[in-house]
Amino acid sequence: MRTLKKPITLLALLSLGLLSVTALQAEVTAIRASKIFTGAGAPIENGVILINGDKITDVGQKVSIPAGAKVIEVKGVVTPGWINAGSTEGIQGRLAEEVEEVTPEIRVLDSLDLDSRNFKSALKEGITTVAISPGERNVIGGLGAIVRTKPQSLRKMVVNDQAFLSVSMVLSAAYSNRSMRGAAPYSIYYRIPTTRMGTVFLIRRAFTEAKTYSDSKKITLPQIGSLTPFLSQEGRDILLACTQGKRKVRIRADYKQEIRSAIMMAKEFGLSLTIEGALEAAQLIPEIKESKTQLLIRPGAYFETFSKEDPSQFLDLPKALTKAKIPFAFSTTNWGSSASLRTGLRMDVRFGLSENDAINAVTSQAAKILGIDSKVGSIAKGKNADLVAFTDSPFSITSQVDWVMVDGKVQND
Amino acid sequence: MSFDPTKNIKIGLKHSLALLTLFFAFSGFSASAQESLAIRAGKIITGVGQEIKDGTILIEQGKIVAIGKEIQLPANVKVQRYPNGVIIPGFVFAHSQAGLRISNENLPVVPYISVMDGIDPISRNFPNLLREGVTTVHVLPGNRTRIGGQGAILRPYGKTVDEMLVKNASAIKISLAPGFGQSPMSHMAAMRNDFLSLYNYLKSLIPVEPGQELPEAGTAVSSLTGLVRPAPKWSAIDYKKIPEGKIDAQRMPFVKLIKKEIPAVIYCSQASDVLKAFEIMDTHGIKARIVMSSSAYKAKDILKKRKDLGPIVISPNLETTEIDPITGKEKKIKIGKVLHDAGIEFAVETVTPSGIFNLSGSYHPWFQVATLIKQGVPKDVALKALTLTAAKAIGLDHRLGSLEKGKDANFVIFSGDMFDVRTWVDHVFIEGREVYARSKDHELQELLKDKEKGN
Repeated sequence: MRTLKKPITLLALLSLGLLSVTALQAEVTAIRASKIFTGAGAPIENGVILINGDKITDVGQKVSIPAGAKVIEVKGVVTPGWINAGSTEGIQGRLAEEVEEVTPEIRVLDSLDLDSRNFKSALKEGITTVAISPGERNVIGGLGAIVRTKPQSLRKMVVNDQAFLSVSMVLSAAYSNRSMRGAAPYSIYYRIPTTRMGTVFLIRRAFTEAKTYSDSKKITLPQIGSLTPFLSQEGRDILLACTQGKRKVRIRADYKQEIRSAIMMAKEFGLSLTIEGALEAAQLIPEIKESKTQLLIRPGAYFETFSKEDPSQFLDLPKALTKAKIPFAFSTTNWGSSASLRTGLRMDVRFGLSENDAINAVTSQAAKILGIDSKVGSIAKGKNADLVAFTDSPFSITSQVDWVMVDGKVQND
Repeated sequence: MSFDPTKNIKIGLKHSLALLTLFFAFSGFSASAQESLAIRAGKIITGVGQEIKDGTILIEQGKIVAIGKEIQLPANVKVQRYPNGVIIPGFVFAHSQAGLRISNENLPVVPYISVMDGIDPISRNFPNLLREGVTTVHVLPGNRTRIGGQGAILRPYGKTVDEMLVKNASAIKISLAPGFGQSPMSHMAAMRNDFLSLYNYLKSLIPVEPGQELPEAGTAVSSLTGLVRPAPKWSAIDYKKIPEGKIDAQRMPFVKLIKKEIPAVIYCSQASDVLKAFEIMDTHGIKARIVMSSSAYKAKDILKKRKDLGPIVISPNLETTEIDPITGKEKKIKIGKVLHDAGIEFAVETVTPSGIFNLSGSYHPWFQVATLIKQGVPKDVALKALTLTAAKAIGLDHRLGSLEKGKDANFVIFSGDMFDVRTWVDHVFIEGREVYARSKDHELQELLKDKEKGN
């Protein structure tokens, strides 16, 4: 044995040596830009970003560029790769599994076409990461995924295939369901919920069941009151993890009563809550702040076709959230494609959201809300080198995406 | 509940007084005598390639009498200062359906109708256009009527259509988009027949000696398509020989089109329609402008060949994406850039905003200018596409589209750099009169005000 061990150590040493040599040889890239929005704090004027391989190694005004580094000059603005925190694009076929109302165990990734054109055009617009959730037609729709838009292997594209549980409290969950009155049901849509009350009831029933039978591994379970258990073992485990704060819950809620119900539900079951949609959130700032809810809102331009009595509340929303220090990011679900995110955000900037806050919302804030901030969402040491360069301020109407970098490599289309 | 009749009478009086003043204020837009007015602004973009820093525009009788950095101002002239303002010529929409609730007629041949009868002066379109800095709009019937009605050039400001009017009977709309249930073949055949039957009608009105009948319509071969089609011998018609008042009033506008007294605006729904438009123009010798859908770029080589065409008008959508059917690769086509590179002069249409929520994209003329610049069209050409070239497309470039001595004082004052998304249209002037001020735009103020929201 002794004689055998030596050559192995030698070999290990040798390979270590080789590794360090390759590490040294890994391309060092330096980006010199007129303005860098890091996703945290104030923008850096005339700064330098150093990249080694696929990671950022340094950023700042006084960063010296090592000899032999490849230098990329940017006259405009560099920001972290943008993140669309909510979308249903890329899903092939129906957006939700409508045969059952509560399907926590299904995964949106299984429906996802990773070669979708939407991802390619999103990448060209500088959106490097997208969170996809099942459609809002189901009460508990399943598990959402976070994917990177650059076409590559499944392993590299999927950041998290079970990133959050998608729950819907909007009227669509009940919409077009019919109540059973006498006649024999001939379609699956003779079912609950037909109202918002029914939606909330179903969610509560599911979480209650998960908590009640958390330790039971039996296939047939006794009833809770008059209700028969209806979840699968896996579904229960997923919901249980949500009630223990181990898994994020994303609830779609637009109007005041929906937002209130969502907050109430989170309190009742101890959920780590993100509300998506949140049209009328401006009217519930204190409640949202108190419950530590995170929001995913729609870009201002969404409201161009949307009419309500007091339209200014929608346009004020990002400003109001910034002021109240409520974390928020943008989601394009029910509004548009990821590629149009910037067009939409421009309107929020037009109505008073600062450029820095807007960029933070689509980079670092979005990453935090999605729980991927250790890897992406800001320009800082150790983060993935996912960057976007714009010819000008991203929100200027004449600006264009200069290039997009993913894992330290500038993408060519 | 008490009822006080005197109160009501008072209100009635107040209202009628207000109406009277309104009547006097608005009777005849340009006729209202204007004193001379000088506008000073941080920057004036003249629209003909000049940028004047800290410039002044001197206006008299609604016209620009002087423009420049150092100009002689008459004594006691009223001076208005906008130190941060950026002035550009008022935007001109060369093709629009603003104010028309229904823009298409059920009948296919209606040259006798006029948009003047269809425009609703209190339509929301007009304040929305002013909010975007539009000072002139060419309203035409829609794209679905073969030989549509007559258009009119308007200011988007006024209480009646007459008051808004800049030029009546500005053009007759001809559309090459087939009607519902029709193919382009039958559409074109019907179109040829429309002209032919007009020729036969006019011929029948001219009294002739037996044996000296006017020639039948002949045929001609198109130089572009090589197709044989009927060609009326319009030169054989001597209008002097037609007895006074004999021509049916309903056909008169169509006759005027043939006599080149009214130009046509021909809508081409696809690139191949351009050849058909040329056929109509050549066979009947009419004056025409071409309005094109976003497939305009495909016709660039054909359009380039015609030197007498004048500017074409292209639809609001300045970018299209095409997918290669075999490789599946996406190709983004920058229509403005393609046309500019081909040397084609073009004006750009903009979607007429239907509400205050039309906040993004092609609803804003300045966004259209920015899009063209983004595509690589030179800055001045891009601005002209919505000002001077558009004015040329409607035949009013001697009056509108740029800030030069002798032209109408139509301009927009922006709150800052036109291409910054945080910039707003602050003031709009038409013929020297302020017709829009952001500070008085209640709808916008309502949106912009910073409200504290709580429950």
